[in-house]
Amino acid sequence: MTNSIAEIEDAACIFVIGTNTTENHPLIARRVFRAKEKGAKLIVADPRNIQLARFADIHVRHRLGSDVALLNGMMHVIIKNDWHAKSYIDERTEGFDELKKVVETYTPDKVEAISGIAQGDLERMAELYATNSPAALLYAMGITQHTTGVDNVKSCCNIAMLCGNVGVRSGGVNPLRGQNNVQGACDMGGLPNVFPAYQPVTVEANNEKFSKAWGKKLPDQIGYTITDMIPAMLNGKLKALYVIGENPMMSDPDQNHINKALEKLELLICQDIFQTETTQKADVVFAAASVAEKEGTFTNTERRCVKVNIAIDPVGNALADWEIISKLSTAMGYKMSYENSEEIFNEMTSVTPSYGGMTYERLGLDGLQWPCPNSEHPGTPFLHKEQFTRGKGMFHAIEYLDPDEMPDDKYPYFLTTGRNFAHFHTGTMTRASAHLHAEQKTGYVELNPEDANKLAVQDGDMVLLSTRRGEMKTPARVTSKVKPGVLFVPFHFAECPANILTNPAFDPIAKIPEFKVCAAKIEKAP
Amino acid sequence: MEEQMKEWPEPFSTTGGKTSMLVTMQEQVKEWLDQDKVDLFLGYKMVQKHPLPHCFTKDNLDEVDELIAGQARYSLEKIATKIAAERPEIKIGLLARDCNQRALNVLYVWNQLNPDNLETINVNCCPSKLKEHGDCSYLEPEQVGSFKKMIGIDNIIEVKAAEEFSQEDRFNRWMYEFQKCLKCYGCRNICPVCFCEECSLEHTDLIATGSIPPEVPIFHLVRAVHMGGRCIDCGLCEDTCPVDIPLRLLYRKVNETVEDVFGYVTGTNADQSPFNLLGDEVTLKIKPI
Repeated sequence: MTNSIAEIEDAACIFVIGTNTTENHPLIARRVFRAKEKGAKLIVADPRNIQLARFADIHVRHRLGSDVALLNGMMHVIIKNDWHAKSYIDERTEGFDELKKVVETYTPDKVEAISGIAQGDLERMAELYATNSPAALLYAMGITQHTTGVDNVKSCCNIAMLCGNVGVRSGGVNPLRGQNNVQGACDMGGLPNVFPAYQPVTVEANNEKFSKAWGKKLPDQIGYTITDMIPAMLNGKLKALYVIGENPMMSDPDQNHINKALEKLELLICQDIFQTETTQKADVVFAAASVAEKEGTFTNTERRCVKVNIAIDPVGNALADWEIISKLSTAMGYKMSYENSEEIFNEMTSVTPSYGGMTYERLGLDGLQWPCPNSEHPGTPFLHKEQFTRGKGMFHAIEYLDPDEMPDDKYPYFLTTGRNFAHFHTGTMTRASAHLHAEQKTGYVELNPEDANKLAVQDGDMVLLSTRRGEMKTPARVTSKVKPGVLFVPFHFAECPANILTNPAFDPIAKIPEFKVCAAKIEKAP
Repeated sequence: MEEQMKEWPEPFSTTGGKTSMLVTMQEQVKEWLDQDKVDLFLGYKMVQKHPLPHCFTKDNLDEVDELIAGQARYSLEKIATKIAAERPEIKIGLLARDCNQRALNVLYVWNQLNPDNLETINVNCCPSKLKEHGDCSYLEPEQVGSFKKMIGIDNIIEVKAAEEFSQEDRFNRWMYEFQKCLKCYGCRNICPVCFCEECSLEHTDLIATGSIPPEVPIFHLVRAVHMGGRCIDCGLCEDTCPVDIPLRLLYRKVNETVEDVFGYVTGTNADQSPFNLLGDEVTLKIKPI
């Protein structure tokens, strides 16, 4: 997030697109409700009637994958009405003319044809967003999990800059991260192309710095993303895989395909707190300590690095992740000997400028938000205050592209995936809880009553869902939450796995798969 | 981050130093622990600028110097209930405000705690500004937003004021509030007098599962009914509610009815409740969380 969670409360407008906030980020939803109750305007763009939609000043259910068209259309209306932040654009950004040229062609007519949003609605959204300042934009995987994921994110940035909302308190572009520490994992260089704090491996000075710090010549080539790894496993280029705290058998698209790839491996190591669909295929499983059993830090969605403490000793022979990695590394010939997690933290801060001013002591109970470059720095609630990281904010002129797969005669429905409030991700943790199990026992497909009628399907009936990848049976949940022609499947449930259906087509830059759109068929189960 | 950076005032202090009252309290606790009058004492300790519930024991008597009694409010008696369920013989000391005392009375009535095994140190607090040392956070409630006042319910209004809305208006306002519910169960989990092994809120015949908001308004009405003769008006449910549903007001209304019909004022003493139909069977079992 460019901004902080608490700031959302004081926004004058909140634009929620591609985040089902109450179900997935309930404590951020709290801020949205509070802002609304203080008088903020709320815009919700989501293909489903999510809970927040009930409170929206305007809610649109745009066609799956039509986000770029929607955002370009809003920008078209904003510029046409002269609502854009002209002095901000002049002083702080570049590339406006190119953007203007492209969005000029996204007339409300054209946008309606692509997205299904009525012209009046588009104009209202644009007006609310542009004329209530500061406006905070919130998004999640509904924006990113597309073959145009990067385009979608850039379009969010475009509209935020167009209205002068980046670099101001309670504004910003705010991706709500899906895990407690996914921000931290990225910050630490858990990506194939960067060292900690996004220092590219291909830049010689960075490579030298880290090679020196870690006493070992480091690779200067960009590695594989997970999307690259799967074909590499299949063609034998990648022979061993070490999976830590992830369950790709459930979380990667096209389960049959990933299953084949994992079977080709010579060695699969998994490290997790519970057995998962992936650990069951592993040659070696390391038992990892859970959050309550280890010390360390997590960095959350608002860039806040927070200390966690040991509440109970690890159960059984489980070890903290860092201990397992140290032992394995030492056994393989690179000695890692740390006294405790604090020693690792201090080593990290010494090579990570944005964390440079943090110590365990300074983190306290509240943590610190990066960038926090020195020991006097109080941390940074919102980014890009005086100027953007790159100097001027860059507009990207972006044309709308269709999703990889659109409905056709054979697969006439749009299918999208997401979470249910009672479960987390692939369910490895939440499905072990009796209370959460009682709340939601298995998967389902949301289906509009009109479609249910056509198929003679009643609520709770088993249906057969199929796509070009595979098929599965699941109970129908008949609800007007989805529009006719749209299906929604939660992805927590191994017995009716959404990823048997989803499309592995991915964004060319971010390599993120298109979990949010594919073409599907639905019929009453025989 | 005003909330997180908020500096809590020194306990009972206007001058910055420890007050004699606090010192007396700490000495009392030390004496109790030292002389085995209690096996443990539940109070608060300042941890990195946050007052957190803490269990003081004889093994670490010096730590009692860190015991405080500031603005922090928590259902310490709920912790006591859980301890008693596992180890009924343990003698528990407890820092008790008026609301904690009322909760203890209810827990005695319902056999969740044994008064013989409980000692309290009483501290002054709510519900009145007139009371000396009253420092409950409810004495200076947060201001409610203008839209909420217009469409929903202002959290600080009294039952009487809430009843002045027309029936239709009142209904719409409550429906607005209930629709925000995230089904986090925070209201139940913090509640000092919620101890049932089987919770009606999880009864699938009463309340459908699998989506949020939970069934409106039945989820909240089921809880409200169960608060009759139980709720001691501590307001922790509302403090906890992430979406600011005016739960305290709702349960106040329920208890007003209880008082009208049965002449029973919940929590004022440990005498038999008109709702205690099951007699005095002891059910000191832990409810799964």
